[in-house]
Amino acid sequence: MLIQAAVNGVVLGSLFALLAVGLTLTYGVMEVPNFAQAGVITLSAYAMLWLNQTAACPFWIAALGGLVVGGVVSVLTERIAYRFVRTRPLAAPVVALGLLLILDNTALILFGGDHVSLSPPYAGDVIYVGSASVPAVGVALIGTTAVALLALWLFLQRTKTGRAIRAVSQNAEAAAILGIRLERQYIVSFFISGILAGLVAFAYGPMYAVYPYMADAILLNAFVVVVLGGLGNVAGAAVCGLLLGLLESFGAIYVSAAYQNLFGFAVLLLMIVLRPAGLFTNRSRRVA
Amino acid sequence: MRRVSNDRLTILAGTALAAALLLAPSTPSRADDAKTVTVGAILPITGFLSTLGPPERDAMQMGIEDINKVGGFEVGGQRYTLKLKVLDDESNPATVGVTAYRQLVDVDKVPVLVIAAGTRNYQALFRRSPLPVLNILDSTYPSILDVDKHVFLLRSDTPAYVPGTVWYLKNVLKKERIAFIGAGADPYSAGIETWVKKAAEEYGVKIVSVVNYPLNTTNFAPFIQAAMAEKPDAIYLGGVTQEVLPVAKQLFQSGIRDLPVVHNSGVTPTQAKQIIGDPLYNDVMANNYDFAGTLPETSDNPATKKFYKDFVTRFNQYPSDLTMWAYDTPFVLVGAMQKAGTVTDRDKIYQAMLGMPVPANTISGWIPADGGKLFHDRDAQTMSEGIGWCSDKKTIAPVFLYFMDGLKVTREKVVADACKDH
Repeated sequence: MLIQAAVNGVVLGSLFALLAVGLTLTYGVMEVPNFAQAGVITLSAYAMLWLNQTAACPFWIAALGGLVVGGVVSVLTERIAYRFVRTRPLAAPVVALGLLLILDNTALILFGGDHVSLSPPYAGDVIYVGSASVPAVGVALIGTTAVALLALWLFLQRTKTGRAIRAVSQNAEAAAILGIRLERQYIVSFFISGILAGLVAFAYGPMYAVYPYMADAILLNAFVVVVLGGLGNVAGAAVCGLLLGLLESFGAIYVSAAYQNLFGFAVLLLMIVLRPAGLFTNRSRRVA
Repeated sequence: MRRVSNDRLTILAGTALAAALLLAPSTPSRADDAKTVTVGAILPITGFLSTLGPPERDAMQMGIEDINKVGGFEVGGQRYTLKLKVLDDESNPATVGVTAYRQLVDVDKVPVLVIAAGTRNYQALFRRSPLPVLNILDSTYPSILDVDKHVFLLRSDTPAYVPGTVWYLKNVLKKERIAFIGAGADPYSAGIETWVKKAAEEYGVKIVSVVNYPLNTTNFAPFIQAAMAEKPDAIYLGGVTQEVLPVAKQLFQSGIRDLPVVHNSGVTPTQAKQIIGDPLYNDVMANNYDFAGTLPETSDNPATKKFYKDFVTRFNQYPSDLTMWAYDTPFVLVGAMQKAGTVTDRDKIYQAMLGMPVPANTISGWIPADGGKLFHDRDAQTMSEGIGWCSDKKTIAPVFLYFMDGLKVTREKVVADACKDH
């Protein structure tokens, strides 16, 4: 039971981490709570579904297409809406919620409200770890998260663009004085965030179902992770995502499954009281 | 080439149009002077119940078309046709549904209303603007018939089919340790849980675990783990199609494949394929048993078989028991209006509905109450049916037909090799 709970926790935590990293990246550079990320996930999932089931593309090609759609839609949210509220932080949450409604309802109009399944070739496979069973879709989620986080870390640490994004997130004005093109960094950040949203769609879609509001509920958990990890802190989001997944899984088994979602929010309340800046915040560096 | 003048073209076109109008097949002359009665319906076209609303709408529209096709119906010497106005409650009766109710009842002044889910949300409105309300979905416990005397239920209620499920587990599948996984926020699931417990006690079956997941849960792993910890030999899933199938899918994905999974969702092969995904759905459904109303697909009645074929042809999906009841709904409304002698007086239609006989041309196989009345205690009843899955044909087949008299299973018929016979 212990191993199974741990395995379940890692699967759940990987989902939270993948989702939260995309959110914290855009928060780091622009300080917007990007609720629209849930809508980007939805449209990306529908793109995969359409390519796979209507256009009859192989699953992997469809998945790739969905990632690109995620990146493009995310950039569009920045170009069409967020860039106008960069200097008005109080307006940003309202704009983000508005964008979420627009994206969700776009999916509803285009594809209808039915639950539809995204089925990768491994959807029915199961892997056994000792006495615990792990669905192959869960393994894919863990693997996707691990690769995505490593790639993102390398990108932010080792590339010129990554360093520029970090510079913008630390101090946009100083970065601009040093010759960094802010607009470009915003677009790149939102594109990467959109790709991460696409990866969530790819990994999470086969676990449940694709429908217009598929990511709205889990987005709340991801925001818990973002706050726990420290707003704008990519590494913090990754670690706290895993911790929250494990906490919810063990809580569900050893306390009560009915209160699974409560544990995360209880910890969030504690954190806001005891350490409001988050577990891993380093004020001098964000997006690292 | 000879040129034709514009004037001549106009004359030719006009003549052709007139000829077309004259030669076109006309509707029966008696419908020409018919007035229209608008029937209002509030259905979950979108949202988490969206597997249910659209087929109900489509089936109701089929029933109305069949009535209008023969010239409509007559009340008090005047001929009428029916028209359906459907408003989507977005699976949110508490807010969207209530607004739709006001629109249809207070603004459009419909004489009768058809609703599906969330009946209790309309309780205050029933009192303020009473009219006969026909529900074709809300099978919950406690029954929605307690909400208001104007509410009728055009289907069997939860106690009519849930105990039969437990009986089948015990007596046919020989299972005695049930784990129940339900949707915590869904009253339908809560009603099922109540009757599973009652039936288990009556038939000597042990409920080894009860787990209810919260609203908006998408990862059921912890709940599956909690349920499986008690080593059940069967799993009972509470909830509607869109709640049940994702859990069934994740049970399969977690490697739980040798236990029977039973539910009362009325799932069709079309829905299973759509929600679980192709080709996985055929494997997931292999050990599933679903107990609800009788299905059009498995009926022996020629009229019901025709409905089944027409529905599949027209909408490219299998009709569920709900669609059959929805098809019958306009026939029930017409019967009530004819008995009442009015198409506008809500109270007279309500009184007529209380004592109306089973209407002609209905396909659901209604079991009449005393005196041949359609409604027993304002609920209409049919036989219940358990269906199994035929993997080789990727479809369903009846495994058990029954009727409940309290907790006693009556008229039971177990089909031994359902897939072979079907």
